[in-house]
Amino acid sequence: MKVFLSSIKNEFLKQKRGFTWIIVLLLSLGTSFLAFVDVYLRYDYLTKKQNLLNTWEILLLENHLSALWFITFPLAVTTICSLLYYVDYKDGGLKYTLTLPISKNKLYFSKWVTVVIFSIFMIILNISGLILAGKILNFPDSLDIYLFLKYGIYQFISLLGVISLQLWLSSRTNNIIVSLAQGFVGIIASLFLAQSQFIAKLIPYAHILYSIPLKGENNSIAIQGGITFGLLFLFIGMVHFKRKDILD
Amino acid sequence: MTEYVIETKDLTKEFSNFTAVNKVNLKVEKGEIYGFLGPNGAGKSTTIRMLLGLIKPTKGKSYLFGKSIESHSINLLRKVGSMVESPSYYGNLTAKENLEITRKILDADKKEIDKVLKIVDLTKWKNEKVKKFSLGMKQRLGIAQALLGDKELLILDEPTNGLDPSGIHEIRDLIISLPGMLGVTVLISSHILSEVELMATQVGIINKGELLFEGSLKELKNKNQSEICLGVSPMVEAEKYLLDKNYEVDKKNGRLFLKKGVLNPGLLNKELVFEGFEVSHISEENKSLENIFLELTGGIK
Repeated sequence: MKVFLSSIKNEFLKQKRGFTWIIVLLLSLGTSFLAFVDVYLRYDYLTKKQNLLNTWEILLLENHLSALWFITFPLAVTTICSLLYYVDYKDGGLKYTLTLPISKNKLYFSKWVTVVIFSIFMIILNISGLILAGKILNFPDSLDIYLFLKYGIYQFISLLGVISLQLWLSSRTNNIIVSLAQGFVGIIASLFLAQSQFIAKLIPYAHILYSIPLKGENNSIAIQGGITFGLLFLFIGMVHFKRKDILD
Repeated sequence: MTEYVIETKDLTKEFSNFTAVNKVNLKVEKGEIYGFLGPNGAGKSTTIRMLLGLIKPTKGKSYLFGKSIESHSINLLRKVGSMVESPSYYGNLTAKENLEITRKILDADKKEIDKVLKIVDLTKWKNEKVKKFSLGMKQRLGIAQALLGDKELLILDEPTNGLDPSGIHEIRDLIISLPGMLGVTVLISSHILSEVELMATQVGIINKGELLFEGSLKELKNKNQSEICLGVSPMVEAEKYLLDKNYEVDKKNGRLFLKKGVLNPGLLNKELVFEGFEVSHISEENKSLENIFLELTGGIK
């Protein structure tokens, strides 16, 4: 257990002075800020158009769709997964780490947990930014913290499939461009394919679209898909990584 | 029975289109500096990667401290420090932070970092980012990483690769001092015999995946059979005469070469002169260790 925890700490240390923290901060708070500007500028229009929703729900919806959180969040996760392996492949760090007394499974799982921690951190930052935006805009409705809690949990679970899939893809190649391109194509393709609920169930990148906890949303796609694909690709990734010859 | 620090049994690695390592049987005893020699692409790094569990052998087994690396990798790797092919590092981190990564996994004392930095003479640069380091400094950091913790075996793959002569000298002195200073066994690979000649107590020579020789440098030298070089005319007739007398004769660059064996050059000279041949040159040629190595590995035909 101590080695596993040390390995997680090492993953964070390896990202020191890198782009990862910039991506995390910029995309989470940047999206919250965009949602704030959007609601600020179109407050009257939005409250009229979405008359069945309260102001906090409108802010959440604008954050998720108009400010493109459903794209920026999986994009950030894709980039983080690629960067975690990039720093390891770049100057032979992976080769060296695996000559230390740590099993491949522990190393792989510690990377997975690191991405999970970064993702939770991004969600917390984004939601904190939204709550701050609502307070600044002085919403008439009282803050429904339960709504934001559900939003955070649903989107985290919905993204488990992307985390596991992208980590596996990133572990397969020492070329960061390849794993990034695979993720970007998946995310863009899911925009079109997610129109069908049936197809969306099968595409991990599309699950986040169904994670808004509002009436009429089929959140089960996000939750069931996230858990199923998260576990499936985590298992595939671990088995593949364990069998992989370290030649680079 | 001798317990070897490293032992491989018919270690083989086949890739889709070639065999990188073919039935290699290495034996490294405790306290040795073992030079693992071979030209580029001979299979040294692949063998080392199999010893460290980085790649799985197609056939055969490798044992460290008498135990199979496949089934005891975690316990065994705790005792092994390594540098494979080139130094591995995180360029955005300082030398100290790089060593901290190793220290955390080994759960070693924090003082170990200062100790190994001192051994490799990097204390002054410990807070500098590694990407600013020269190749020699990176190599030294790689050795520091390998030394961190209570190591009993060091596996250093081409540690002098890319270094200038003074850098090579520096690393060589450091490696020679390690068994005495820390009591470790060292396996060092190289494609240049002269680099390990001054360090190694034993050598293994590999080429095209096959181990061609294993033993001491003295044994390697004894493999050399001196030759007698003759400048004689008429050469064709002299060659025929010597072949008829069952001598092993080789013709190179206008000279005849005979395996020395028990031959006495003086008597040979006398014999040829009595037979009417004109002997203009006679000398005894000893091959250098480098030439023996090159001949073994096919560098000299």
